[in-house]
Amino acid sequence: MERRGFLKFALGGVVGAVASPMIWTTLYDLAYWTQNWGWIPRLKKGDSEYIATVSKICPGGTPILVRLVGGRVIRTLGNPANDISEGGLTPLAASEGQLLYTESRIKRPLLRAPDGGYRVISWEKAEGILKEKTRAAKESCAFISGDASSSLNDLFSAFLVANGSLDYFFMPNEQNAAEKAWELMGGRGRVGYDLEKSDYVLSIGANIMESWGTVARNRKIFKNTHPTDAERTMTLVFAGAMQNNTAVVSDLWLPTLPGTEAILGMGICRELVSRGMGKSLKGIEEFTKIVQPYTLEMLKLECGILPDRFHTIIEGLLQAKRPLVLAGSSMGHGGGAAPIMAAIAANMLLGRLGQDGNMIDLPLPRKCLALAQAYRRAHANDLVDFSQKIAEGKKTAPKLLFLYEANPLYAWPKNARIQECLDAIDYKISFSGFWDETSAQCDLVLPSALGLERFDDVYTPYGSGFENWTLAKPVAEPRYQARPAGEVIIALAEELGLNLGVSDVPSLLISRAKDIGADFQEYLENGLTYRTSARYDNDWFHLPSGILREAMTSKIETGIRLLPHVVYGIGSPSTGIPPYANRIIADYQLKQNLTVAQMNTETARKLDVVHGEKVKLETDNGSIDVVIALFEGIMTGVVSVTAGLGHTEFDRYSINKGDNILNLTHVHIEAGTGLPIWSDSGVKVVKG
Amino acid sequence: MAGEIKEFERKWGMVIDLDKCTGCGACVMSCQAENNVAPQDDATNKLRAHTWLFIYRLSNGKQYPEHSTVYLPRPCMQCGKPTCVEVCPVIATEKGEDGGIVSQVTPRCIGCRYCMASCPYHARYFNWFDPHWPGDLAEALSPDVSTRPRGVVEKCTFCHHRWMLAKDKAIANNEDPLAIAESEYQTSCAETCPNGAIYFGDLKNPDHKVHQLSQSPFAFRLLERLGTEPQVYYLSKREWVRRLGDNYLDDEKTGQPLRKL
Amino acid sequence: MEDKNQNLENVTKKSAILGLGPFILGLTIAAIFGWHAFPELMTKELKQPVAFNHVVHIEQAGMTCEDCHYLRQDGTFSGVPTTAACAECHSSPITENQEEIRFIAEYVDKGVEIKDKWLVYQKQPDNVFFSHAAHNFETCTQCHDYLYETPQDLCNACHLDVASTTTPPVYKENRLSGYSKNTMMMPTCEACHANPEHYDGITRATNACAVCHK
Repeated sequence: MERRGFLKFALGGVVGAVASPMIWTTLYDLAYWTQNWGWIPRLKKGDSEYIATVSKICPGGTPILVRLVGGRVIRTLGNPANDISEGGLTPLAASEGQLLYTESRIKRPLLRAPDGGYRVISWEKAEGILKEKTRAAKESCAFISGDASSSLNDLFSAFLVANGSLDYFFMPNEQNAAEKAWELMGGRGRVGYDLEKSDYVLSIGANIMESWGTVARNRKIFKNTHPTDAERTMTLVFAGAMQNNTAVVSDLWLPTLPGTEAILGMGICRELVSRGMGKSLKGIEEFTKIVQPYTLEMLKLECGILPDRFHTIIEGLLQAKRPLVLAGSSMGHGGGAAPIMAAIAANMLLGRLGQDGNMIDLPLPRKCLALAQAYRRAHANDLVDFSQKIAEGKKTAPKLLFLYEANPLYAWPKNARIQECLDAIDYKISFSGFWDETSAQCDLVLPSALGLERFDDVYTPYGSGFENWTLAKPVAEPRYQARPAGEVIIALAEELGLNLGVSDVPSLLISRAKDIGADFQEYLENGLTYRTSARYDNDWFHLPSGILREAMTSKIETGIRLLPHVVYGIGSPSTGIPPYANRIIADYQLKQNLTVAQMNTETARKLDVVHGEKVKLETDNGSIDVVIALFEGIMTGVVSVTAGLGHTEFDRYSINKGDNILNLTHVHIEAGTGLPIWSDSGVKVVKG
Repeated sequence: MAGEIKEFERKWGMVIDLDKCTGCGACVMSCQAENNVAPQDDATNKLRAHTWLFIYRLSNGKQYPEHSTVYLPRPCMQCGKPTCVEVCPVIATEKGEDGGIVSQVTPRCIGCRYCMASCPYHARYFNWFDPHWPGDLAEALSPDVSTRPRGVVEKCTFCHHRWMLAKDKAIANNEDPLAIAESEYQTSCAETCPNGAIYFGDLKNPDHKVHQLSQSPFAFRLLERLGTEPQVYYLSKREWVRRLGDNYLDDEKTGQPLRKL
Repeated sequence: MEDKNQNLENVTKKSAILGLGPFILGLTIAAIFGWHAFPELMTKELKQPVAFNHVVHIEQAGMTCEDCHYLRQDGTFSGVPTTAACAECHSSPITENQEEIRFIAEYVDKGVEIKDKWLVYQKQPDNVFFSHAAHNFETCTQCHDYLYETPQDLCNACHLDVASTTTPPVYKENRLSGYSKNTMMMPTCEACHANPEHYDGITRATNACAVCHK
């Protein structure tokens, strides 16, 4: 064919192609192709199911609904049917569904090889090691539990006792200090906070709207007492060094320096005494003497109190029908017993202790298993003391340590000497859902089924106002090779020929339900919270004297103070930072991989630093790199740093994000009570 | 601004009581879980972090101890006269014909980001990268909301899929899908807030809480004087908070309309 | 001069006639390719994982459509039954049908979800929300009663009439877009949704993006 003919042929071809739908459909398909890239996951449909249970990762025991699609957990929601929360959800409980699938989950049993690396082993082999090590260690073993509100503690504690050891410990919590204070002042049971009925709540240091006690319940109470379209029925006052989550919604904010919560409490007591309150109380003369030094002048000096706001609060407490004073530490733990004792004393002076809307004496939890340690005995065990003594060589280290969802290495300051203590223990076994800092140092790491994959419960978490019990039930099969730690321990006990008196976890929980009068089957089905009105009618309370006087002699920091800020959104020591949480970490908390230190303009001027400047925060304990952010809602002389950052294990959402504030703080011992304190610390700001 | 404010039989709206927000972030977490927002390794750069609902920390500008703080959650305002809709060259976003939700059809979006430039509220986010759910995280994807690829803009949709599902539920139960109860359609953030700071409903329906709350003397909208007519209202008893809602001159009263020059 | 002109004229005439040949040839080949061969080339034919027989289930087992394809209480639609639903009858073979035996061995016994493997002829992408609840027989037949005499007629308006098949039709997938050839595209949706009579009339088929897109 000649050239011209070919061109004509080609032209015909083009016309034909254009006239056919080939080009247009291809363009059309091309557009559709770009909408559905193969590497972006497709959605999986199925029937939706909502199961009511309770969050096991949120320390406040938040009730949840778990949404499943085609049997697959996709998220957690609040449970409007549960009157504890009325549908509210804490940020931590909101991430529970997602945490089932994170990269940081431990998937198979892991055994540490001599070279330090980990080898995947079978459960059979792991159980063999468990048996062999427990048998060899006999009574030389200890247990650290990361879950203070579960009835499973009775099981683990009974297992330990059956082995001949009483060294059962909890992760840091405010509960231990509060129970101690309560006991010292004559409480027969546990301290309960009847926030529902109070019309004036003064919270000294406790971030009750974010991380203290039963958060979802606290916030529900706030919601109901502060209606948007009507007058409030409760006044909320927060005393603390910073406008934190509680302060911003408080009706009044009373600034007080970190670590001075006890002094403020004593100052309030003094003022109440001077107004003639508590005259008929036993021991009032002695108590009057104890509070005498805490004058307004002293409060101004030590706490940085604003006198007019202080007086407003005193008037408020006196005029309220059902006032409540409660105390806690900014860290959520490690604040000692003195502030809580002062708060209890204030409630006594107000004549409200044990009454509606105040602190009430809740029944002591009874043991589910005869072998288990009694509640008070178990909660009196002090891991810091134990660990420090081992590190100092004053105590023989146990041969075997069990950790259950506990990450002590992250959660305590360096001078609690957890690292040295762990080093001194021959063999460490961790039951953990996630690859945390402590698991990464254990010899045997066992994948623990998470709260949505196992039977468990939440039994009167700290901060409750009534005895309550919520059953946690498995909504999905354990993922990977995870197993419920409780079942593993029961099987181990059987292998070792120890009789714990229980055949499986559900029967343990059935006995708990029976004990408090709940119908197990009913609560298994409805997923609601059972509550009782049980409380002690207590006339044994007495004003504190010697011990409080001694506790008040504990050291107070001077100079620049460090204020830890705990937020649930950033996760907990045992979960790390949940992937969703990355977005709620504000730019005044973390900047790329640097922790942010907040201070006000006046402090910055004194320290000669500017907004955005990189500096070091230093204490005797260590130092961290921070970047300065100015925030005026914080007292002069105070630097606030968000806790929960600086993980070195877990996954990409936790690692390389700032520094752990506990690298700065240090443990000291509260005089009188002997409790460890680490929530307050002086700090040096070092430039360049 | 060109264009009329469209009026509908229903007008979904939100009222956020700023005096009750503690800035905890539960709403933001819930929003991500509900809407399949992929996690980001580093979300500290807030311009690049996809926060359909973002929480600002506001200040009254005074020094300690007179300082006061408020947290302000910011979803998409679902404007009555949305500037983003007018600038979209491909009609990937429009003002809903019923309910007035400003939708975003990501498969249609060409990623020009005009809408982002036009939005006075920074409510829109661009996917600079493909979403990534490492490990098994994609197992937690909800079937209700599609995932978005790199190169498109996304934003808060008032969880409109929940409205569609609520209507379907009503049909399945032989009820009127246009007369669903207030509780049947709630956004994920509103139902999550433990403080009850977020109210959601039909602004035109007197039976819905938002109808009455939006008329409160303490109600205001963000940058109201721009004329975008947001369907999100804020409440605060504190005047300085309401004043921060717009750019007032020193001699202007809070809530005063813009002066004609 | 004249001769020369005459010659030129002849050449032009001749080439004009000759010239149409290649053009028509090209046009024909391209048109045939574009209309017939190309769509075939772009289509991948796939077989369903199980040769499900609708007729047997309806006629011999006496099942109705709604036994498997039903609106859930929450308003969502259950399209393809799950392995568990099949296993309610087929936990062990109830006939000697090889396909049934294979299904039980490969799916029921191993716990494999058939719903995940079944190819949906009308599959919509993730960004589309189609409400089976809204497109119901009662609503559509308020006007279109002459079109849809039975609910099945309405189903067949979009779906293949599989109820009368003994083996599932071949699934045709577009190689480029990955969409099923039988699925509904947006112009079909708009035929009703962009029609004001559907909006202001008896139905409420608004054309807002959010109605169909999620």
